[in-house]
Amino acid sequence: MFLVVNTTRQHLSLGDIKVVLSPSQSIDLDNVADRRIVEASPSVKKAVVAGYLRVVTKDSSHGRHNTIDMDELRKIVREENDGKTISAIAESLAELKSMLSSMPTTQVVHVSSRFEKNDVIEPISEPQAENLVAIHEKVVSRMASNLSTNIDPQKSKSKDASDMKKKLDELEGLL
Amino acid sequence: MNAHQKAVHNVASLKRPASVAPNAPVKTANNTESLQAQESPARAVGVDVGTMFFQTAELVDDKISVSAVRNAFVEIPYSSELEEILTRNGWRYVKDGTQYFVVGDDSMQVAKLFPGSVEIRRPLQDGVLNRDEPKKSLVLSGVIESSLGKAPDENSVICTCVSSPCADAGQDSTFHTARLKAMFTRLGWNVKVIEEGLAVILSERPSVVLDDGTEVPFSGIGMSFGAGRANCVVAYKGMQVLGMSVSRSGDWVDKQVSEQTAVPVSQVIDFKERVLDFENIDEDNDIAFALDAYYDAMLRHVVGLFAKKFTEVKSQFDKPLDVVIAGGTSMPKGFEKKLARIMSSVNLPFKIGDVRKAADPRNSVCSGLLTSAQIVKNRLVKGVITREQV
Repeated sequence: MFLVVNTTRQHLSLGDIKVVLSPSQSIDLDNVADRRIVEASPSVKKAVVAGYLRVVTKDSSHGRHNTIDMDELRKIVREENDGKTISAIAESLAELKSMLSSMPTTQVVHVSSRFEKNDVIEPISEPQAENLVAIHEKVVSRMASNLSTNIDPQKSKSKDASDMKKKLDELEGLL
Repeated sequence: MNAHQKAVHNVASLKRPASVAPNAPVKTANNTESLQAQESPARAVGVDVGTMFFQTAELVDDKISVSAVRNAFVEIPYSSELEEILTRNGWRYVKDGTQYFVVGDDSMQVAKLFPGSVEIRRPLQDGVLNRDEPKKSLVLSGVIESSLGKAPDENSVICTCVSSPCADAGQDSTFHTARLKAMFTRLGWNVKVIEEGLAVILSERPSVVLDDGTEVPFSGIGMSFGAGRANCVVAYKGMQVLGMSVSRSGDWVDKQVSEQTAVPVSQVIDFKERVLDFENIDEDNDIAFALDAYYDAMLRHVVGLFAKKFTEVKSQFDKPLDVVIAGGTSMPKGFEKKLARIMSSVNLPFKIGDVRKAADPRNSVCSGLLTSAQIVKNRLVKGVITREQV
């Protein structure tokens, strides 16, 4: 849960995660988007820093280990068998315990001889947007290297821009 | 250099100087004293690369100067006299080696002159780069480079738009966005990309009025009905809250009507642009009747998916939201009333205020893009943001 509350008396817009909170409205951001996206959101960060948004509850999205408490398991088994200790169950428990301890963990151990222990292996990530544009830029430049044209830049129509000045001033204030 | 070669402006000759010193007192044609940062040669241009038209808007002497090139071309087989013919007729073209592509409205004229031997092709389809057109990037690069030239300095900005994520069967726009951006960045421009519906908001300035009478500008719903897609954006104080698009818009309507009435698409478009009036439908006229029916189906599809999307993001607006409409497909008379009727008949998770059409529906998106480009440019010139933050 990542519960936040709008502390202002106005609507609060968190544009990049597409949320608008009415005055004093609280919301669990985990229901809006993935935790990583919410935590990386500039609008959330800015709103929290500015005090517009208060974090009420934020549990850890990590560290949820599915460990088995053997004592608890024994207790449950005993309760389900009227408190009697059954040797077969005890044996099964021992087997289960040894099986669990011998199971590989989720960590992948890199065994290639090319890497030393201290080598850091970067995760393979999606191409970043900037890299993608740079790749396209090379492709387009190569494609258009032999282009010529007789198109003249033509301005066909013009209209009064006085209204735009007002809009620009308003938007500068808002954004 | 012979006469024909002279007529062909090498792209390099159209390019503006790339190494103009920042803040040098260069007066460009598009540099105005009042709206643009003084003493800066930086340009700000709104560019709408649409399925039907390639449009630009720029401030020139305190006026918004708008240009439009039909986003279509035909390829003409090479012959030794070809360049002379093209030049004599004044046809605009892009040349790549021995390949000639006549672009814009001229392509329509050429297609009419040579029926069957040349066909009209489009760089874009359904709001994104046409995946079936191998020459799309080549032709579009030529049009962009000749229309805009190189950025005069490092603070010059182009703001362009893409469709919002598609809510129905439309194509993803990741490739389209990256390729389009690259066509501008390779010419030295800083590029800001916004969603099309937001451009309508920035141009038409819908507002919400609070209980105490305070007006909240740039808040409401912006809808753009182009040829390829219909786009919807909800914004609050100029910030986008929600955006979506659907792949049913003008082209879909035209195609359906053409199939149902056995009338060529070109005639359907002609009727739509010259005659269609939703307040006065002649039900004995098959084209009018079919257009009315398919516009209705298209709008119900758009509004239905929009309501669903709005519900999913759990946004809450207590006050009625004004709707502003733009785009060539919204041009027929009575379109806004038809949309208002459909919106009121659908169970929407918000209240609708006024539904109004932009004064200049065809150029509204481009004007909004220019507004955004101006803001970014002013911030760059003042050093409020860096090029990386554009």
